[in-house]
Amino acid sequence: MSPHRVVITGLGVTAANALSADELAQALANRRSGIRRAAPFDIEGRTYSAGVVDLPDKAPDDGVDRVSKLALHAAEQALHDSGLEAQGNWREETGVMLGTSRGPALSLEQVIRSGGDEDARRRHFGEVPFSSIARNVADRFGLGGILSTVTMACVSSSLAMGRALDEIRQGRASVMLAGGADALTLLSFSGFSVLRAMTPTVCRPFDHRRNGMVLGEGAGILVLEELDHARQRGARIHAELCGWGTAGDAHHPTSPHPEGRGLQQAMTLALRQAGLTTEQIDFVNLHGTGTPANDPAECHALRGVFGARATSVPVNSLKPYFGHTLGASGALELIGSVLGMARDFLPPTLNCEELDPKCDVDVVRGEGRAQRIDTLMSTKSAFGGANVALIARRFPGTGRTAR
Amino acid sequence: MSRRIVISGLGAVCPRATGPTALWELFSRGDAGPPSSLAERIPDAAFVKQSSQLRHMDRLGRIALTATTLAIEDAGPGNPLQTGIAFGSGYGCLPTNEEYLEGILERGGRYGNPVVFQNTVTNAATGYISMVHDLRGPTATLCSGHAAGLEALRFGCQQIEEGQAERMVVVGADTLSPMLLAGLALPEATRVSEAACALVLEEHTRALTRGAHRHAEVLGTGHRGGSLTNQAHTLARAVRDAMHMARIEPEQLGAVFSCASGRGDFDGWEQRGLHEALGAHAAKVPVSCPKDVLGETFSTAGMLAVVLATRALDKGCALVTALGGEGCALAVVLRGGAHD
Repeated sequence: MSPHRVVITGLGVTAANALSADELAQALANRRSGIRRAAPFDIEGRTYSAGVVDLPDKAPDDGVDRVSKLALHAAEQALHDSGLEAQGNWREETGVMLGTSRGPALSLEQVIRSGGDEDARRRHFGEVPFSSIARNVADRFGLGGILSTVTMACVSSSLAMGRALDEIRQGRASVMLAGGADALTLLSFSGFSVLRAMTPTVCRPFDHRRNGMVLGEGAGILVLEELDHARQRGARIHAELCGWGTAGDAHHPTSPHPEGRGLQQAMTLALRQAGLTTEQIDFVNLHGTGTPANDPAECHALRGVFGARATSVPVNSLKPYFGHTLGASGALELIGSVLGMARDFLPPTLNCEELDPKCDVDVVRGEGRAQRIDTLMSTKSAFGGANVALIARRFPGTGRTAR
Repeated sequence: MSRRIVISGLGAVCPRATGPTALWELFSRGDAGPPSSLAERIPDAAFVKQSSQLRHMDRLGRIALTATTLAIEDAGPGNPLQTGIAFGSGYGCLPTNEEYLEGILERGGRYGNPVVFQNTVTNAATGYISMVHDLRGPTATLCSGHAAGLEALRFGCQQIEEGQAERMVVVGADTLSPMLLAGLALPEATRVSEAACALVLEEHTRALTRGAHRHAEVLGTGHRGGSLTNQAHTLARAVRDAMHMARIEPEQLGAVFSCASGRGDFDGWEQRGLHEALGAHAAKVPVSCPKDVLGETFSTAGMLAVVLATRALDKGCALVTALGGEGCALAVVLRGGAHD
């Protein structure tokens, strides 16, 4: 039996520059960044910019960790966008697969700060396990399908989406909420600061002056659905998700393999599952953290897989719009790319002015680019040498109902 | 399953047993014995010799590496590009995050220890293990509570089924910390233990061709989530899915390796879930509870039960369950022996 086809029928966004998919589309079209000079955490004299989310006041506060609040906002939007809420009995079989890097680290901090206060410690500890984020989303919306939490640093939500894709491809689920969330935490600010991975100025992916990343917080959650299931209910289809791959570098705990060894393998596996060649990929959304090591390694990986086409296939990084949202970045940036595909627009990489010769690929810059995109790839890399590539393609009548 | 998948390598490390044979002997004796403390730790002597490259690994990585090394030695060499790793941990790097946070809360954010920080992602352990054993295929780190170990096994099977890897190393591990133990608020006299367990999975024909020992075959897996107030039903659905995938009826099950832990709420869910899924056969099939002997090992419990099941099975089928009170349930159906 052929694998089932999987389509994206709902998009949910919580980001520093957008609190919905529509807002994100507008922000990308208008080159509007949500990064601001802020010091959400005291690193003793070091001030960093960050992508801080202003959650709407209506966001419920019932003791859940901030990372779950970010996820709940995105999940609510994705479900609303999908139109599922108004239709039949879908909750029992709908699964949740979410990724996070830092998870509920703010609750862990509260547990430590609570010292001998047993009540406070007990109150916060319930949120501390990483699995609390997916559990909170499933509980809030009464979902009873496959429930899973992925924690793979910066590829967390990409892996969650890939796994959800497989569950539906193989007929084990019809509808999955997939994506991820991460909140700004003292843990992250301190850690990336001592690793000297954060820029004191602005994030400039692929620019020769790049000197680090800007952290952000947010959540991206998608409704993934089996094609016939979506057709039967007349769902609006944003795009088809058609392949993914994951592979390890087996190289270094924090640095990418200089030739993007694992990323090449992940891209190759994604192409194989999608049944596509590199000639059929029209655009690549790269991780593009703006760190000295990441960007050249990614470009090397692109050359390794795309060959001569690596210099002509357009690429971008969306990190300067809302920061590096760690475990949420894969989902948020896939959503941004799909929104661009639907609007025949490639969002530019902000702040990339003088391309680094080590990054000799076609980085979309300036005002962005009006271009039809039929198939795109989104790649992410992480601590621990983890890499994921996802492939999405235009669905006939994308953005309209599937009938 | 679309492809037959076998277990060709086993590795396990617990406070009182290193290796599958020692684990089986401990379990067979059925005598938990008096614990040195109710929270047992693996003696450092059990760890594999650490190269200088690995001196920065945290405890989670070290115990997971020990189990993985045993499993890979048991399975024999494979193609690195075609070998992936799936790591499951209920609490993951929580003790390391605790250590890092305590340090910066005391001394200030700019004085964080970078060596500790690099281990504050749970997939640091996965990355280290992949470096040591040159595993360059699919990689995943899963943290779905107590079910995470069996979830890693399920992911490993899926990657082989999808043709993304020839073999997958699947690992489950959890370590302990005072904060974790206090936060869990377990009933008094609950024996908890850190543990790590690893399996090597590969496609049946490939294992047969290279003459590998086939400890058991994975016939089916089930994975469900649901309300925290309805865990028995969630487990029942996971069991039914696994049985359906395995294409067997309840009467064909020769044994159940249960995740029952001695806690009233958990064990009630387990019992009701098995009865809902297996019907009348639930009262007839022998049920083993490895935690009676091994203690509560969180995400590793399901994986250790798989190792025990491979030792217990001759040609029959066994069901292994994992349920942790986080809303997530896993079930795996195994068949023993080499069925060619």
